[in-house]
This record gives sequence, C-alpha cells and structure tokens, in this order.
Amino acid sequence: MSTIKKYKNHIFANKRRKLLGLDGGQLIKSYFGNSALVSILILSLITIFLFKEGIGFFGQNYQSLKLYRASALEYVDIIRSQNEGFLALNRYLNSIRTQQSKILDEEGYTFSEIQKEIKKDQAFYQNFSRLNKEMSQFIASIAEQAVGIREQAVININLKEKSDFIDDKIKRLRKKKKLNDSDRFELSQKLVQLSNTYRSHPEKAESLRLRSEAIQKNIWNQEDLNQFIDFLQTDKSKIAITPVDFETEVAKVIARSGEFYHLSSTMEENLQKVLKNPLVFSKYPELQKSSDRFLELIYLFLSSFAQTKESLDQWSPNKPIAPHTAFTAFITGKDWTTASDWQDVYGLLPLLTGSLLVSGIALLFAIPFGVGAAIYVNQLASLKEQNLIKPYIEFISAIPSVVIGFFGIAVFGKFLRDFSGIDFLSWVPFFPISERLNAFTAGGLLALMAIPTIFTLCEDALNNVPKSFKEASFALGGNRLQTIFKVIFPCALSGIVSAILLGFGRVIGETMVVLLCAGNRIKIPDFTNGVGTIFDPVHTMTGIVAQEMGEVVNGSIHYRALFIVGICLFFISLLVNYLSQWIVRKYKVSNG
Amino acid sequence: MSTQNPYKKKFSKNKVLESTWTWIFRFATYFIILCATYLFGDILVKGSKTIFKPDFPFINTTFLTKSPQTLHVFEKKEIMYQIDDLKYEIEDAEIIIEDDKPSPEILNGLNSKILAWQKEIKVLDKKRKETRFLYDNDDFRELEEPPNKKLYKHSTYAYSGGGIFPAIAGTLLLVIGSMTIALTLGVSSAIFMSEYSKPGTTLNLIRLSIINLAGVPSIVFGLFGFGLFVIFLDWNVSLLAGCFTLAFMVLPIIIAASEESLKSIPTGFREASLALGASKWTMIRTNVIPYALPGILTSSVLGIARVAGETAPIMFTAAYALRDQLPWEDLENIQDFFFQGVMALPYHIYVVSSKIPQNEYTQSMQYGTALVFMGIVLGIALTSIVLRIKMRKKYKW
Amino acid sequence: MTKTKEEPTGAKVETNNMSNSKQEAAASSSLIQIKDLDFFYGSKQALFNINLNMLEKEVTAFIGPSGCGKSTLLRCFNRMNDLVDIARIENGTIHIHGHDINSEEIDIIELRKKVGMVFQKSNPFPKSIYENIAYGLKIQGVKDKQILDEVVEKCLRGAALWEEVKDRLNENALGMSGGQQQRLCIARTMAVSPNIILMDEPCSALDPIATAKVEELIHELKTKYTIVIVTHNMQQAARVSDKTAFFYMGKLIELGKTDDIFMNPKQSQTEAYISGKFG
Repeated sequence: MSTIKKYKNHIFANKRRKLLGLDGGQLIKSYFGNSALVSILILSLITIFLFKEGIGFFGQNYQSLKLYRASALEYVDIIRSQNEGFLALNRYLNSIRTQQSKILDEEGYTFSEIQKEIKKDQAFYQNFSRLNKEMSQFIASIAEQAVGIREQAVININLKEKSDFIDDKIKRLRKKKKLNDSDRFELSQKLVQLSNTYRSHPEKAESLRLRSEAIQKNIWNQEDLNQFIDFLQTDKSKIAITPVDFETEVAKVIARSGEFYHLSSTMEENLQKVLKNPLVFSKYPELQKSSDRFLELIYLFLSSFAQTKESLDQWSPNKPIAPHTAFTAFITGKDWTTASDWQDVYGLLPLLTGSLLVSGIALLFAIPFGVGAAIYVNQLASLKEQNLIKPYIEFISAIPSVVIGFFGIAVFGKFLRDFSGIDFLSWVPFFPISERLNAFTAGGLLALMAIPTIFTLCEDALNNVPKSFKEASFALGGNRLQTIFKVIFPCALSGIVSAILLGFGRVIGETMVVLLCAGNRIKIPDFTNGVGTIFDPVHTMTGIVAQEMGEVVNGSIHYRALFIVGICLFFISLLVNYLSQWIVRKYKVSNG
Repeated sequence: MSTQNPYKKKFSKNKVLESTWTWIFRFATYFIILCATYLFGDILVKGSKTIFKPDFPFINTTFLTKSPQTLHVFEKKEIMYQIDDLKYEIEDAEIIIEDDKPSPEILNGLNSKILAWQKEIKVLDKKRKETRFLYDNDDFRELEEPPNKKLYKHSTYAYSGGGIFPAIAGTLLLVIGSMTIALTLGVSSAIFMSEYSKPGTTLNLIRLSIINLAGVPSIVFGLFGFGLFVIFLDWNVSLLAGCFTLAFMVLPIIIAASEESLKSIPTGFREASLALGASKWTMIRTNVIPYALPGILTSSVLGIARVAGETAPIMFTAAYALRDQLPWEDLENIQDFFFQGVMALPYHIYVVSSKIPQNEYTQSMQYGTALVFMGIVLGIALTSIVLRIKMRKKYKW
Repeated sequence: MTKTKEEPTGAKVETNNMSNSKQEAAASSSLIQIKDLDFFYGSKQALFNINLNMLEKEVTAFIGPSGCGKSTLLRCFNRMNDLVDIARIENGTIHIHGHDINSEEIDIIELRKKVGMVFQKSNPFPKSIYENIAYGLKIQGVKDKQILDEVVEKCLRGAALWEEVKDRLNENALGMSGGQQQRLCIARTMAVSPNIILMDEPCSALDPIATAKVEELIHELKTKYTIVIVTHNMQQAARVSDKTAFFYMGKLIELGKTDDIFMNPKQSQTEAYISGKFG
C-alpha cells in the first residue's frame, strides 16, 4: 500500500491517462502500425490477386488443347499447314511479279508498256494461283466438319453447367427452405408465363398473376417454394444433352483423308508441270535468280508432302496431351488468336518480341542521348546550363504518356512516313515505309520517355564519383576528356548500367504509347527483312492487356490469358529492378 | 628568350578530340531539349487555337464547361465540288508530267497552271470555311430548320463538339480521392517504418518489396484493380475502384519518398527533443513531421502528377468514354456518387486520338484536350520541381 | 549472452579519503546512486559492475579513452539508451532522488524533464532562438506568452547568451556560431528546470574561445544544478569539475576529488592516462 502511494507521488510517476489499457503513445503507435500493415497487405495482395486470376489459365488452356485434339481440329490443321506452304509459294511468286514491274519501271518503261510486258507472264501467274482452288474448297468443308464437332462439345459443356446450376439451386431450396430476391423474381416471372398459357381460364390466370405479385412483395408460403422446385425440375428435364460420339464423328473426318491425298497428288502433278516450264527472264539476271529460287521452293514444298502424310497417319484423337503443354504452348506459342471461329491460341512470343523490339529501338536512342547528356551536364556544362537543363529534362519525364502517344499519332508517325518518302532518301533499302504506326514510331517516342530516367540516374551516378578522383586525374595532367573516359565513366559504370536497366523497365512497362503508336498487329516481326523489321507494326504485352481487357468475358480463358501476360510483365519488371539494384551493390566504388 | 616556354599552348590531337566529344555530348543534350520543346510547342500552338479565342473573354468557355458532343458540319456543296474538280485537274496534270515526259515548254505551262489551281483552291477553301455552319448536338437539335440539304453537305464527327468539362471534373475527383487514400496510408506507414519499427530483416524485406513494387508497370496495377475492385468486390467501373487502383499504384512511391525524408532528419533533433522530456509522439509531432513535411509534400505533388497522368490503370476501372452528366448530377443517394464511372482527361485523349479520324474538325478537340491535360500535369510537376529546388536551399542540416 | 560475468572488478575501486561507512552515508544523501551496473550492447558488455555516487550541486567529470563507456553511462541517467534497440541493463540499479529509474513505474518523460542533457554536437532545432528555448515548456502545455518570455530571458541570461542574441530572438538558431549554438542548447535544457544536467563532450566541436565561454557557464551553473560532464579533455575536467571519475574498458577505475585524481592518482592506469601515456 505504502509503496504504491509512494510511486504515485514521486517525481517520475506516470501521470498520463489510459484507454483500453494503452496510453496515448501506444495508441498512436498501434495506429501507425496498423497503417503499415494495411499497406503491406495491399501490396502483397497485388501479387496474390494476379496469381489467383491468372493461374486458372493453364487449366483452361489444357482443356482447350484437349478439345482441339479430340474434335480433330488438330488433324485439319495438319492439312491446312500444307496448304499454307502453297500460299507462301504464291506470295513469293507475287513478289517476283512486283519486282519485275519495279525493274521495268526503273528502266524507263511507261505504265502501259509495263502492263504489256508483264502480260506475257500473266498466264503463268494466274494459272499458278488457281492450282489450289479445289484444295481450298476441300479444306473449308473438312474444317466446317471439325468445328461442328467442337461446337457440339462446347454446347454440351454449357448445358451440363446449366443443369448443375439448377441442381445446386434445388438442393439449396430444399435445405434452407427460403426464397431469396433473385429466386422470387424468377418464380414470379415463371408464374406470369404460366398465367399467359391459361387463355381459356381467365380466373385461373388472374389468380396466378396475383400470386406472382404477392411473391414479388415477399409474401409466399411453402407451397410457392414447392412450386418453384417443380418449375426448376421441369427446366432441368428439358435440358437434353446428346453426348458427342467423338469416335464416330472424328472417324468421319479421318475418312476424308483419301480425298486429300488425291487432291495432293493432282497438285503435285501440276507443280511438276510448272517445274518443267518455269519463268524465264533472260534479260534480267536478278529476276532469273528469283525464279530459280522459286523452283527450289517448289521442290521443298513437294518434299513436305510425305511428311504431312506421315503426320496424318500418326495422328490419333486419343493420344494424351502432357499437362505441361498448357504452359509450354503459352510460353513458346507463336500466335495470339482470339475470338476466332477456329481455335483460339494464346502464345506469348509475338507480344514478347514486339515489346522487346520496341524497347530495343527506344534504348538504341535513349542510351546514347541520355548518357551523353548526363556526361555533358555533369562534367562539361557551365553551372548556368546545368541549372537550366537538369530541371528541364526532369520536366520531360512528367509529360503524360498518353500525350506522347497522341503526338505520335498526330505528328510523329506522319512525319516519319513523309520523311521516308522523300526522293533524296530512296537509296535506303526499306524506305519509303508503308505504315505510319510501327515499332519505330513507338520506339522513338518511348526513347523520349526513357531519356529522363536514364539521364537523371546517370547524372546521380556521375555525381557520386568522388571529387578526389577527378582532381587526381587533373593533377596528373589528364585533360577533361581523358578524365571522363578513363576515370569518371568507369567509376560510374555500375550506376549507369543500372540506370539503363531502369530505363528499360520503364519502357517495357509503358502502355499508352505502344497502344496508340505501335500499329497493333499481332505477329512476330519478320526479322529476315533485316533492319527494315523495325518499321513493322507490332503488338506488345502491355498493349494487348489494355486493348482486350475491357472486352473479355470475365473468368473466360481469354480473361485469364491476359492476367498471365500481366504476371509476365510483373516478373520482368521485378527482374529488371532486382538486377539494377544488384549491379549497384556489387560494383559499388568505395569513397575511401 | 621565351622561345622555349614549356607551358605555351600547343596544338595537339587530344585537344581536337576533346572538343569534338564535347560537341557530341552537347549535341545530344540539346537534341533532347529540342525534341521535347517541339512536342510542347506543337501541342501548345495547336491546342491554344481551341482554348483561346480572339474576342472577349479570350478563353473558349464552351470548351471548358460543356460535355463532349457530336459535331454537325454543314458545308456548301457547290464550293466543295469546285475544290474537288480542281484537285482532279491537278492530279491529271501531275500524271501527264510524270508519264508523258512533255517538252520543257509544255511542262512550264502545266506547272504554272498547277500553281494557279492551287491558289484557287486556297481561296475556295477560305470561302468554304466562311460559309460553313458548325453545330454541337444540342444546338443542332434546337434548330428550327437545319440548313438546306440540297445546298449543304451534312457530316457528323463524334466527340468533336462541345467541351471537356466532365473529363476535367472526373480527373480532379480521381486525383483527390486517390491521393487522400494514398497519403493517409502511405505517410502513416512511412512514419511507422522509420520511427516505430525495429530495424531488422523483416523491415528490410518490406522495404525491398516496396522499392520493387514502385517499378511495376501501371497496366499491371490496372489489371489488379480490375480483378479485385471491379470484378471481385463488384464495384463495377466506378470512381471508387479507380481511386483505389491509382492509390495503390502510387502507394509504394509515397511510402518510399516519405520514409526517405523522415530518415533525412538528423537524429540530434529527436534526441534533443526526447531529452527535453517530450514523449515519442510529441517528438514526432513537433520535431520530425514538421521538418519532413516539405519532403513529403514534394513527393506527394510528384505522386499527384503521376496519378493525374496515368491512363492504363483507369482504362477499365473507372473511365467511361462518354458520359454526359457531371459526377454530382442525377444522384439518388450518396453511394451512387462513388459507384459511378467518370470521364477522365487521359482516357478522353486516348479515345479521341484512337477512335476518331484525324481531320480539321476533330483536331481541335484532340489538341485542346491534350493541351489542357498537359497543362494540368506539367503544372503540378513544375510545382514539385520548384518546391524541391527551394527546399534544397532552405533546409540544410 | 548469459551472465558470464567476470570477477567483479568494481571491488578494486578505491575511494579517496572515505571509509566504508562514510561512503554509505554519502550514498543515502547523494542524488545519483549507481549500484553494480552491468550494461550490454547486444552480446557485448559495455559497462562492468559500476558503483558510483554523485552529490547534489557538484560537477562530476567522466574521463577516459574513447570507447571506455563513459558516454554510455551518462546516457543511462536519462535512459537515452532506450533508443538503441540492442542496449540493455543486465544487472544493477540506478537511483536518482532515491527512485530506481529503470523500474516499471517510472515515466521516462518525467525523468527526462528532471535530467537534462546537452549533446556532443550542438543540435538546435531549425526554429527561431526563442522557439528553441520555449520548446520544452510548450510541449508541457505552457501557453502563457508572459511566462514563456520570462523563461526564455532567464535561461538565455543563465547561459550568458542574452546580451548576444536579445535582438534576434526570432532568427533561425542555425544561423548562430557553434559556441552560441551549444550554449543555446544548454539554455534550452535549463528551460525545463531540471535538477541534473548531463553534458556529453559539450565542447568537442568548439574552438578554444567558445570552449572557454562554455566552461565559464558550467562554473556558474553548478550553484544551481548537479552536472555530469563527459570529456576527452583532461584540462577541462581539471578546470570545471569537483570530482573526476576515470573509466577504462568499461570499468570505473578511480573516482575522487579532481585535485586528488590529477595530482595524486592511486591507480597506475589513471596515472598513465593522465600523464598521456595512452589515450
């Protein structure tokens, strides 16, 4: 007793009030602690949520791939791929034709003369393109057949879902014996429908209508509930699932292979004829070379027939699909086709290559300009220049990306196309460019966005090089350039590399500029064109998410595929960040 | 005597090299500045045609206070046909020059003819502009009698009439909402991390993940917001979903920057305050937050610029392409305010630059919106840069 | 680390001119009593079995080479070591005014109001001179402008700073010279009317003239306050203190009247340090 009293009165005694056993300080601490907890929770939620939504993709993709095989779409695709070979040949032939008219044009022939000149070979061109007419018709019809099988299977799956849904509902009603809002709405609708059938008994119809109204006002009894269950059971009984007999249906498709082989051999004969009477351009060695190459390609095409046959013979709808294919098909997939009447394919490669191409172009400009400007401002510029340029470049980084994208559409794209079109530059092999919006347009604009990032971080890195190094170099008689290249640059190198990495991170994650300016063609850029590839329109990972997310059905495979693309982006950005931090840590120059 | 001065200036290869490189670096620097300035200039010049006008009150109030509308254009058919005819003539003449390779005399004649035609087109074009009628959708509906269809060609351009007020309002609401959320959470978390929590592996891990999340692309945040708020929590496309998505996007930046500025306060201030008998909270309140506040403010202004400037996160969480009502109009109850989609400037720019063609009628809307938007964002960014420079001068300890 | 205590070395401490019983009597009347104190930073022991008493209105100087634990001990008196997470008192007690300052019932804030501290590096807040002095009172809720004015003047006079700064009370304190800043910090400490003022090398960052002024101030202050000063500078200790304690490797080697310690040290280590053989 006395000790307590003593403590209460002594000069260091705690005089503050308490709430819930905590004094003010502890309460405040717990408030801040909870805030921090919420923040961290939220940030981890992002990762969790992306995965939660995305991971289902692989299961759905696996199902889709299984159905692709089971409904013989895969079989038809083998046939199709052979036809694709023919179409490629035809495209090559067309390119010879354009080449021919271009050469003639350059030689000074007028338009009408060119027409006349080409006319001689016109028959050849036309005959060739007609060679696969029957084959095309055949493929269209067999494809229809296969799609029919798949459609039936998909319908069955949907019906099964529907009947399961009704089952669940009945079970719930029997257990809980309660009608919720949507149940009541459904029931009253059904009663109204029923009342409409009683045209001859107006009183009965009227009573049904009254009941329906009462139910809507949440007045109902056990009888209504039973009635509802009855309705549901009739609904369910109406759902008739006719199971797909995959085996017989697929057998029907396979049975048509004879037809295909027949068409193939006809085509082979025709092509042999072409080989015997090829195009001859005695006057133009260049064209002759192309023509010879064309014949080679025909040989190659013909030799692929045997392989196609082999693949078709080996194909079986029952061959199991390894579960990991759902993953590998995504990572290595060369196509991204959605909402097609054939098979939807989700492949990352066209988007990834597009993103990388655009970022590569952006960095190609951003690195020399960003680093160069940083060196200039940090080492060479006068103080006045520094104080002007640094905030200005920082200011550039604040330009909203959508404004830059708009500038690309309104000004830069047009400028590029007009620029490539001027006669003076016609010697450049891939000029003039045909598309206003392409990887280069987007890349050039992204460079403008990456430069401030690279510039600012590089400048910091250069700034962090100890002054003593610079002084030592000067004292030994080095000039400014030597000091920069031999002393300061190597010391700041790790910082500069990490700046470039972060610039890359910014560029690859940028959405609006690529969405507006990259041309949005989902195709792996054709790198055989050499440097000209940079003027191909491409689509990117960020762009596809932004473009398609608003239109997809929630929970569908397409929806999940977009989340997986998002996860890929997430990991790329984490990797880039991690690498840049690692480089800085590992190669830190000590100030000692 | 002094012929052998060893310190005399001499010509050397190194010097040439040095000045060459200096010029290369200087060129790189000024080229960047030139490009950016061209971009600013282009938008400023073309945009100000929309926003400003030559007569009182010098500002196009319609553009800043109305909703976007379809633009109805009536042009005199007669003049348009004349222009088309002349264009054909010019084309024909050009083909003749190209293909027939005429003699110099004829060539000269043709060239001068083309010039004359072009001049004529210019005159006609001016006339066309003088005689045409432009109506916003509202005005068009109120017309008692639209211009005679026989004399005038009627064409419509979506989004090109009216103004952008709902978009401005939407952007402001999104910024206010998201910054409230982000600052409350972010600054509190930073205070906890720097003042209350014990340093250790957990804190380092948290810090590391926050730094890394700051680099995650905004579209990923958009995706997350769409999945969590719009679908999972069933908020639909709404102001609230957009605010939260944007808030989470800037949260890592705010936490990192606030912690940084809290950390930069010398421990001496804290110790002195405690030694004078301040409680921990008093110490933080009187001797930490006031000095950290300018830094937090700067970073949050930068955060505002980022929030206002981003398009990807709100594309499918908050933004509508077109919504006539203002966010505070036609509300039945309070929560409707938060659960409604809004227009936003960045998304509006995306819509008008990608969904409608580029021509003289759409351009004014496109450039006007871009200028207003850029003005807002760059204004905020400029504030932050100026603040920071001032702060560097003011607070040195 | 568990208690792997060495043989108590504190037993070696020889107190000059004091018998055991006398010492005990002194302990009961002394303001600060330290008993068997063991202090750890993590697993590293920083103080070994310290026993020390300090009387009211007396200046005690702690001397010793760097890292000998004198600052650590000083920071125990107002529990500034609480700010260091790994710091802890393993054993022993510190009583001030007869109260165990490490007990649960102690309000650390009340303690710090009574035990003021001046730091090695002057740390005025980036506010005006006036606000710096008034800070301690303001956080206690004193709002009366008149009282604040009075206290500010009294403290600035007390710190011999009034004449120098009375015309610029509203200027930023960071604009003062180093010596003025340190005296401002002393004045600021005085404003919360402590009984004890701890000084952690208050002059280490000052030039000789500023140091002389601070020392002069300490002389004046000792009529009102109990002062504990940590210093590296032995001349300073000799000039300002009544008693001197010599620390070495976390142990209290010798404690006694300043004149005795400097003229006639009992321990060889003390002598070696004072004569400059190590340090």
